[in-house]
Amino acid sequence: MYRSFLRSAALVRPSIKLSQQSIRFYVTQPITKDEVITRAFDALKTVATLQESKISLESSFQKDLGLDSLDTVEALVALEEEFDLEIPDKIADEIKTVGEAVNYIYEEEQKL
Amino acid sequence: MVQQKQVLKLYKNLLEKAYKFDNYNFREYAKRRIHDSFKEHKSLTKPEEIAQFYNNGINNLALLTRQSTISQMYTFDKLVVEPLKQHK
Repeated sequence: MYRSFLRSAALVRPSIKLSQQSIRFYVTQPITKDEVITRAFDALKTVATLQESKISLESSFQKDLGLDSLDTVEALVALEEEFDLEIPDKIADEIKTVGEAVNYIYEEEQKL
Repeated sequence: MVQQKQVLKLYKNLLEKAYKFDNYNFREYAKRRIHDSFKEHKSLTKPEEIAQFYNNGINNLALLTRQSTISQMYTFDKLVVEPLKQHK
């Protein structure tokens, strides 16, 4: 909630009309891939079954991390909440590894 | 017959609603409760039992939707146990 408020606040870009030309006084830095990775890992750590596991970009949710289908859904919801986006079911079904999830989130963040 | 996909979808919807609670205690309780009850009923095999559990979940989803909406109408102070989000 708090996060989404900040996000929407950041999107409102005040501009002043000076001789028919609007000037923006600041730019928002696009999110870097490293930032996506650290935030994603932190979010995944909040999932009970992942707290002890060693997460890496290559690890597959079901094979390496030993999650069942329920835990995988849980991990994806944790990521959705962290980045304030929704992963459509079709794409969620195809995401098998942490790296794939990070890539999807990174691409979505670039579109903002 | 309730399909696996539907169950997962219900689980996802429930969790998404649970995250919407502003109050830390409600949020964590809802998440834990959803997680535990799905794990507990993981081994159900009879279609009637699954259907009953599924319908129960649908009712709880309605309840969660109501309560998390109400929860957002009030402000809550952060508890000391809550990790603070660092915004850069």
